[in-house]
Amino acid sequence: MNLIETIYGIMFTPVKTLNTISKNNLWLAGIILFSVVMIFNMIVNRGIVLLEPVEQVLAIPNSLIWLVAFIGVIFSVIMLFIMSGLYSLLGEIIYQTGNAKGLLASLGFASLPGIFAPPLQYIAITAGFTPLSILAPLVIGLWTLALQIIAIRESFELSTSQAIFLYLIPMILVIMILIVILVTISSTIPFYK
Amino acid sequence: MQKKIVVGIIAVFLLITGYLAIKTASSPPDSIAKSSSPKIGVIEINGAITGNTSVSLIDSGTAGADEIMKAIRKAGDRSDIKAVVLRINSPGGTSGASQEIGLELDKLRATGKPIITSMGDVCASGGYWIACSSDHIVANGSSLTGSIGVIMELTNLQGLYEKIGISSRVIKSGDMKDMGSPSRELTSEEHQLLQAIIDDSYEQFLDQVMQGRKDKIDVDELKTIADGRIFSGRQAFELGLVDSIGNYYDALETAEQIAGMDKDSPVEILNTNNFWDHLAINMNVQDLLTNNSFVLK
Repeated sequence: MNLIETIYGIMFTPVKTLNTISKNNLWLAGIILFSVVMIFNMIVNRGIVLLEPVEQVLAIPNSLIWLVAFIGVIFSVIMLFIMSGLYSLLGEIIYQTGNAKGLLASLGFASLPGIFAPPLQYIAITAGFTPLSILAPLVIGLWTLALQIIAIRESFELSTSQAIFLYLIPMILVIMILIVILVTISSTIPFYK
Repeated sequence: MQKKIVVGIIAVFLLITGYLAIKTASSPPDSIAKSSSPKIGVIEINGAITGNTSVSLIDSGTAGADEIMKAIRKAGDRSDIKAVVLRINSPGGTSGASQEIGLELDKLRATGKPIITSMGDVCASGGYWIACSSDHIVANGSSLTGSIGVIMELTNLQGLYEKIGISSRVIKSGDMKDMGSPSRELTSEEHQLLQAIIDDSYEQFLDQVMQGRKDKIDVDELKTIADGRIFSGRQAFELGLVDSIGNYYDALETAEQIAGMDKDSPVEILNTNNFWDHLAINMNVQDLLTNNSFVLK
């Protein structure tokens, strides 16, 4: 499967393509593609910001914007590693199945649709078609989410419901931790009647 | 074949939008809608004035003479820029950098384009040196200005070095080559030499102020107050160190009046860094000032 077939496959036959990617452990290609998507989005997003300058509460100095953006890209790649490892660990604990390298590759490729959101937003803003600038990132976000779930399912050979459950576990954990922290903090605050 | 066409279309679409976005990001926000109508060019001077622009993660970075001079030249080259407003928010900087900028401003003024200075929070020392190369200075009542003077700070760490067991061995071609070394006390001869440099720089600073404020402040009075003290904008106005009290927009209005421009003429910031400049600056983070810097403050 060459690059053109892989890109085409991610968009039109994602199940088969992500299965092949995870089986072949194309993790380096996945990281490269993920980085390209992030860098491209960073550049186009900067163009969008300059098209529609808005007053920001926590404004980053102009001279540091690119530095911060590059750090963001690096951080995203690190997060990709962490998420792959975490899902693989959770997969092994819960379903006795894991494939960190395969998942790293397929999650990297699953980010591909994300490359379309900023350009569509850019065009929508330039053409004055506001609904598209809101709708495009939303639809593409859902598309990417679906691909990520497929990536987990195909990498770990799970059912769709199992993959969805695994996908949601980190979020559920974060919410639970937040609740515990909130309860702990609120229990230490003295209430006066 | 069909796959190649689809992927090809996507690639072309992404390349075009990427190119357009880079083009937008390469244009400073204020100059996106460019036209040939008369404009006021604004040059921002923020932070310590040094030879090169640098960016710091913990403060506002430095105002590099290189970038500022480039912007002044741009203002001179462009026929649509009819007046220049310097927005200065700087406590000073190195004497060489301030002088370089001042000289470039003098050249611009010689072409007939008026230069107006708008003081921000602080426009002192090297900042004031630069302001003296403008036709009109506008200060806020509470802006801090003045500090006409030159300073060089040297630290003697000999005692500390001895305590921690560091001894430096200096091999030099001449007696004065390690003048100001932190590992020993300054000799009286070295002190005299450095004092002479400071005095000469101070004289140059004084000349610059006298030239810039000719007929606006008495020379004897200037010499009395040019001892490094700072003034509020209002005090400076009373002394004749600035021409009027007002904010940035008052400075723009003054520029319009002096240059004979229409009211609310377009404004363009001339030293806003573009896409490539930001990348270059971010890759060239430099120290603000070294310990032995020779600064105006």
